[in-house]
Amino acid sequence: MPLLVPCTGWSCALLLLADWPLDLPRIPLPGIGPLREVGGTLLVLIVATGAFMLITMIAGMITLGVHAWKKYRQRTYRTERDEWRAALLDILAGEKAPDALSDAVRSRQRSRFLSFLGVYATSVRGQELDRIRAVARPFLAAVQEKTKSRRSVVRAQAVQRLTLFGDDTHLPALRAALDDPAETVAWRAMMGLARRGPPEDAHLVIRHLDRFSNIDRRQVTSALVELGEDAAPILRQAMASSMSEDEPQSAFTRLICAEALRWLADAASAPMAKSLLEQDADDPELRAALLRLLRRVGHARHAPAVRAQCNSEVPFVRIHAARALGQLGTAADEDLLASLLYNDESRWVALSAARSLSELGLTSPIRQLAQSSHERTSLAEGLLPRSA
Amino acid sequence: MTDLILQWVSYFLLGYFVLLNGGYLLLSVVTTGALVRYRHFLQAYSSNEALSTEALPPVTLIAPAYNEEATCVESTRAFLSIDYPNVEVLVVNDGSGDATMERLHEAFDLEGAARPPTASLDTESVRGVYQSQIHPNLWVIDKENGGKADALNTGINYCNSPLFCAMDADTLVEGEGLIRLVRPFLKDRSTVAVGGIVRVANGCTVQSGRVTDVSLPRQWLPKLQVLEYLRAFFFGRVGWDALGAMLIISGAFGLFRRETVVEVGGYRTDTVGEDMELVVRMHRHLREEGTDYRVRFVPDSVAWTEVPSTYRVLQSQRDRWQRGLADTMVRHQRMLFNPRYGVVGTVAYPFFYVLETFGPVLEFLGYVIFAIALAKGAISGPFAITFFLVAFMLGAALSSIAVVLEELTFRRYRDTGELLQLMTLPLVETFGYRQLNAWWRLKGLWSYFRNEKSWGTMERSGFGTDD
Amino acid sequence: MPVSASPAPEETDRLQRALLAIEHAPSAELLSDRLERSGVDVTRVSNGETARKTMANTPMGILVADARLPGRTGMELLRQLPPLDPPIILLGRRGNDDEIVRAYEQGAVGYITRPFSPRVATAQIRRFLALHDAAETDSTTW
Repeated sequence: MPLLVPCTGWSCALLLLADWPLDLPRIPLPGIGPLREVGGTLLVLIVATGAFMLITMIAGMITLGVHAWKKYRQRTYRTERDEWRAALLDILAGEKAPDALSDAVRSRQRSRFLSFLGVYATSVRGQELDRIRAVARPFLAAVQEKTKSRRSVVRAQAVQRLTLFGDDTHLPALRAALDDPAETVAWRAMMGLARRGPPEDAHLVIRHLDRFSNIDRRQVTSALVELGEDAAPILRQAMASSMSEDEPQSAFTRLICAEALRWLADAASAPMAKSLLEQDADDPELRAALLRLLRRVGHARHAPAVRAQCNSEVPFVRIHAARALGQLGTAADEDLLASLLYNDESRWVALSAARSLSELGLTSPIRQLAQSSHERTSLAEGLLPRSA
Repeated sequence: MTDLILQWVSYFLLGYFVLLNGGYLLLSVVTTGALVRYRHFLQAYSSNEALSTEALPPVTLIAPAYNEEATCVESTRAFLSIDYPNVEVLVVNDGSGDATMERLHEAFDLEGAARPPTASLDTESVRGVYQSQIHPNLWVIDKENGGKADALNTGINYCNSPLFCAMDADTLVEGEGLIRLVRPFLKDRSTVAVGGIVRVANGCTVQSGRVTDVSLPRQWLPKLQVLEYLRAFFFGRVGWDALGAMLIISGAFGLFRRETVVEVGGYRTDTVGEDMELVVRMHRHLREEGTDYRVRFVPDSVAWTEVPSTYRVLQSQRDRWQRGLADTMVRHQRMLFNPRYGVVGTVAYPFFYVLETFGPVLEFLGYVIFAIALAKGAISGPFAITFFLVAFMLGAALSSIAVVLEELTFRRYRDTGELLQLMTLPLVETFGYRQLNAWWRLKGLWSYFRNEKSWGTMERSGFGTDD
Repeated sequence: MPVSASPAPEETDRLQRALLAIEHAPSAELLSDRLERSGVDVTRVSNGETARKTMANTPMGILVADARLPGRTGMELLRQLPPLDPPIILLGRRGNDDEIVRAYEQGAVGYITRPFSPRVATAQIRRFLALHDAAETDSTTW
C-alpha cells in the first residue's frame, strides 16, 4: 500500500547555510547573487521563518478554536436532539399533536431540525411517515423559497427536502427545478418528481432525460421506475418514438425507457420491442436493452427477432441476444447457441450462450466442451455442478 | 574544485527543497478549497437516501487471504456486515499453508459450487470454488499460491459485477464506506476507479468489525503514522483529486470498474507496488486511447487499518512502498513531462517521479553535504540556526494545516488531549522519525535498482509474510 | 406510559422481553419506543456478539436482528441459535426478495423491510410473544 509520505527534506535547506569559502563572482549565477550577501540572506530566512511560524500558529489557534466551538455546539445539539426525539416519538405514537414539536423549533434551528427529521423520515413508512411530514409542514414554505437560492447546494437540499416532506402543492416547485442550471439540482428534482408526482409527469421527466446521460444508467432507470406501472404507456410511447414522428426521442431516452419497462415487467411492450429490433434500432445499446426487455417479458413468438441479433457485429448485443434465447428459445436453438459457445470471439458471449443452454436444459454441448481439449474447457467445467 | 561542486549541488538541492515544499504549499491551498466545496456537498447529501433508491450497482469485494487462519473468519464477517444492498464477497485463498481454508469452511458452511469465470486474466490454477450455505453472497476461491496481485486477478476473473472493491484482509470498512465510495460512479459514468481514505486503527476500539471509538495509538510509531497518514490524505489525495490527477489508490481500499481493469490486463504480478502500478497503467492506457475517464478520491469513505508498530515491520513496509513506487515510475517513464497525458503527465507524474521517488536520495545527499560543510567549518552560527528554523517551521506549518483541515472537516479525534498531542507531533517527528523514514526509503530505492532483474521470483512467495 | 388494551401480563415476565440487535440507531429507537409503550421489555444491542452474550444471560421472548448485523449477521444467528428459541425476525432493506426467502428457509418467523412501519412491526412482534408464551405454557403443563 504505497501511501506516499510527504517528506519535506529540509535537510537540503541546511546546506545553504554553508558560507562557502569561495570567490563567487567568478561563477555567474543570475538570481542567486543576493543570497550570498550575508545580510540579505539572513533577512530572507528570518522573514520565511516568521511567515511559517505565523501559519503554524494561526493553524494551531484555528484548530483549538474550532475544536472548542464544535465541542460546545455538539453538546447543545445533543440536548436539542434529545428533546426533539422524545417529542417525535410521542407524536409518532399518537400521543401528541404534530405542532407540539414544530412550534418548539425556532427559526435558527430549522435546517438542523429538518436534517434530524430526515433520518427518521427515510426509515419509516405509512402512518408514521405521514406524521413526520405533518411535523415538517410548517417549515416547507421556507424550504420552497430556498429552491431559488443562488447556491446550487442549497437548492439541491431544498429540492430533496420537498421530495421527502412535501405534498402535491410542492410538485410545481419540483417541476420547475427540472430546468435548474445545476445538474445535481435537476437530478434530485427528477427523482423527487418520479417518486412523488402523478404518472402524467412521465412526459415531463422523459423530456428532460437527456440531461442525465452521464449519470449511471441504473440510477436513471430506477427514477423512471418510481413513476410506477401507470406510467408504462407513456414509457412505451417514448421507447418507440422514432417511429412516430411528432416527438422523436434520443437513443439514450429510448434505451432508458426500455430498461424501465423491463424493471416494471411490462408485458405489453414485448411486441413493440420485437418490431423495433426488426426495423430500425440502429443504436447497439438500445438493441441490447430491447433484448434484455424481451428476455424478461417476451414469448417464443418473439424469438426470430432475437436469433437475428445473435449475428450482430457488436459483442454486447450478441451477449444479450444469447441470454434472451435462454428464455424465449427452444430446442431448435441448440446449434445456434452451441456455435456461439464454441466459436464466438468473446468469452462473455460464450458464457451467455452456455448459461442459456443450461436454462433450456440443453446441457450436452456444455458437457462435450468440458470433455474436449477446446480452450474454453474451464468455462464449461465452471458451469457444470461439481461431482466431488 | 570540490567546493565548486558542493556549491552547485547545494543550489540544486535548494531547488528541490523549494519545489517540493512549494508544491505541498500549493497542494494545501487546492486541498482547502476542495474540502470547503465538498463539505457543502455533504451537507445536502444523505446516504440513507442513496440507499433507498435501490439502484446501486452490484459490487464484488475481493479479499485475498494468505495464511490468515487466526483472523480470516472475523475479517470475512466484517466484509459481510458492510452496509450495501447487493454486494458479493469473494475471499481468495492464495494457497495458504495453514488452516485458513478449514476455518472458512467451518464458520460459513462452504460447499463446492459452479461459478464460471467471466474473464481470463492469467493466474495460478484454481483448486476449487465454494459458496457459503449461510451467506449465498459469500464465495471462497481456493487457488495455488501466486502472491497478492495474482489472487486479486483470480478474484477479478470470477467477478460478475460491473464494479469490484480490492480489499486488504486486515482492513475494516466503515458501515457506509462502500456507499460513499460508489457515489462518483453514479454521478459520472466515465469513472473508472475511486479511492477512499485509509486511517490508522491502532489505539481505536474495535467491536465486531466496526471501529466504535476513535483514539490515538499509545505507542510512538503508530502515533507518528497517524500524522503521516493525515498529511498524505490531505495533500497527497484530496489536492490531486481536485486537480484531476489521482495517481494513487490505496491497495487496502479502492473501487474499480471491472471492465477497464480487465482491459488493461489486471494487476501485474511482477511488482511489489501492484496497486499503484495498476492505477498509473489505467491512466496511461485510457489517455493513449483518448477515452474520457475519471479517477476519483472520496474523503469521507473510510477504511481503518492496523499500521506497523515495530521498527522492523515499518522498515520493511516502507522499503516495499519505495520499491513499488520506483518500479511504477520507471515502468511508465514515458508519461514524464509528456503533454499527451494531460495533467497526469505534466504535473502529477513529474511530482511523484522527481520529488517522491528520488526525494530520499536528495534528502540524504543534503545531510551528507551538510556534514561536509560542517567539517570544513563553512557554516556560521546564526545562519545555521535560522536556516534550521525555516525548514523546521515549514514542516510544522504543513502538518498544522493538515491537522486544522481534519478538525474543520471530519474530526475523528474528539478528545481535546489527543488533539493537543496531534498538534505537537510535528515537533517530535522532526527529530529522528523523518530521518529514519528517509533512510528506509533510500534503502528501498537502492535495493530496487540493485535487484531489478531478479524481481519476478523474489516476490512470488506470497504476501503479508513480513507483517 | 399507557399500557395497551390487549391482555398484557401484569409483570413483564421473561417472555415479554425482546432483544433488538439493530445497528441502525433510528430504526432501533423507533421500534424499541413502540414496543416499550406496548408493555414489552426491550434490550438494545448493536452487534452480533453482544446479542449472543445477552441471550446467554437473559432468556428472550423474541429477537429482532439486522440482516447485516456486524459480528454475527442476522442470518448467522438464525443458524447458530436453536430453532424458535427465541423466534427471530430479521430486519433488512427492501428490494432483496432472495434474502427474505432465504431468511424464512433458515427459520426466521418474519422479515421487516426498511423503511418500515413501527406500528405494524410492533403488532407482529407482540403476536409472536403471545404465541411463544402460549406454547411455553403448553409445554410446562405437559
